[in-house]
Amino acid sequence: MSIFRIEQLSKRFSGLTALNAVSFSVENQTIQAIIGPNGAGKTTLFQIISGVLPPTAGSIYYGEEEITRKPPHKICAMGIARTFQMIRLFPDMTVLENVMTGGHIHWKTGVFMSGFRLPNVRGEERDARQKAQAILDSMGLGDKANYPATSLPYGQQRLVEISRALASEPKLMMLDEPAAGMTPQEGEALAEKIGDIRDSGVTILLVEHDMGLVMEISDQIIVLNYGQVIAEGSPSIIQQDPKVIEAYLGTKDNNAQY
Amino acid sequence: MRYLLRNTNLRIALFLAVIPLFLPENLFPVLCLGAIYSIAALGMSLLLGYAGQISLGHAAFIGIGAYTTAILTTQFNWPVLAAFAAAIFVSSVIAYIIGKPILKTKGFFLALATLGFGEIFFVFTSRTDPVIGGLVGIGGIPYFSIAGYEFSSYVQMHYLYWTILLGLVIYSQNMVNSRSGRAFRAISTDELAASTMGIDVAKYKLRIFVLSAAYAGIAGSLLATYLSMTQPYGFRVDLSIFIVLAVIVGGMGSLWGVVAATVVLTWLKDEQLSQYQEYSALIYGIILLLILIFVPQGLGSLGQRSFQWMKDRLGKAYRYRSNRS
Repeated sequence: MSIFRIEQLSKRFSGLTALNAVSFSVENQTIQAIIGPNGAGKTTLFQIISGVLPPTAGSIYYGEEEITRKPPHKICAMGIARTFQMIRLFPDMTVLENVMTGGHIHWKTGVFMSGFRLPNVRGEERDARQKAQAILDSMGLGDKANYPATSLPYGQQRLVEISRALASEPKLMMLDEPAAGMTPQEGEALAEKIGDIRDSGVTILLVEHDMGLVMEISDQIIVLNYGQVIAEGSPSIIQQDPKVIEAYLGTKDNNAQY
Repeated sequence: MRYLLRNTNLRIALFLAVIPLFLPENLFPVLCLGAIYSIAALGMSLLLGYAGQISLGHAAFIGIGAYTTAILTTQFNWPVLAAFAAAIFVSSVIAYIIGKPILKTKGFFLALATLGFGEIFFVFTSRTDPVIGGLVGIGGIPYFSIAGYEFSSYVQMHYLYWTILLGLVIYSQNMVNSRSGRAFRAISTDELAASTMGIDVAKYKLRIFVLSAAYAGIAGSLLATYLSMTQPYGFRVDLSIFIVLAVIVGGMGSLWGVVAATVVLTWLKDEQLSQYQEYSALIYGIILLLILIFVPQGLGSLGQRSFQWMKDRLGKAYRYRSNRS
């Protein structure tokens, strides 16, 4: 059953066509990777799905509901969370506070009431703290909870971003190059974690340049080049596809010119 | 008991409770006015220090609080407490109405838009003679009173203002360390990341703008009863800048630091520099520059930092001695 579907999605930046009539659907509880050379439109696609950029044309469906052009906070509230290619943790907060902020939509206390430490407000705060701590524990960052978020090494900051996205309890999670800047060992551990997240019932859209990681954990792969889908299928099919090999390595003719 | 003494709020409350016994008479006005301005600065600290949004028109909200109190008590004979509540309500409602369009702008443009609002308030109050007295303003505002008990001496006012301020500091501290507080801090550093975390950025900006205007309304209402009169010139841009300056001097993330800075700046403004009124912008500018160059985190960070420095020094000396033996 598909949880998420994109139809004929296009994005033009004045003269440049970043995405050209992209269509695909994502099956529930799978890891779907989106790969392609630099500038293929992967990050643009994430920006549009998460509501940060409006598309030029086309539509996005989540379940049966159309979410095209909804503002980011509404898309998050529907169960779609994301991380960023350039890490965007809140720098003046601790690791734990960052993750608690990720759970924003699950708590109710408004601005006015939050100044009074009423029992229900305190209880809510305690729950938020416990949930955030549990997520950090599961990511192996439990002992870093009270560190300033941006004081951690790069690889761990990526894990905090994933934890923060998890805190909104998403049904669909978009990871934008989660392994960038990680050591090979950290990448291995990350692959395992992403698998665990999928097994816990979350569908994952993954943009990643580390092909080892992509081939290891993906259920389905979509290849973008110049804003168009050029191939789609399981890792073994994608690895054999001549168009994909061409996009990544160039054709013989191209090489001959040099 | 020792735990209670370690609580900063309680220590400050104790200090403020006993200080009238030792203070020379002539410093009471500074403490009273300092407390009133601190209330407005506290609201600005939430808006600017935590949510990262500036307002150069907050004097207008103080003015709205003051004028609401003045009109209701002198012309409609409302009890002061009711006028006080109305002042908070009116300043919040006006902040809500103008905040919706104004908060779509950012940074420099937000500063300009709020500055414009402040000037509109001045023009409005100075040209509407029959109802609110034009440039002469409104006099004869009664003292603050609760159920017939009147706060008419400096000592009584001292306790009244600082009690209200203490309550608002605790309220603000609670808010800062809550879901909403985290949302504001998220917005101040990264609006885009905040919105993808499900935070409705426009809604939260409006909420904090209204809340900070409500603080300003409280300050304005108290100011009207303290001075027993209101005048358009009391709520011009120099007061708006004074409040922003207090937040920067005190430290963006330090509520008590802002209160301390406000009291010191009030003392400077009303006691030391009152005959140099026309140079106030220049003097504020110099203070602002010095702070930004030498203590960019504000004076509120100094207490923490000097403590850390002493700890480091003592730690080093201790390690040195234990290594030798």
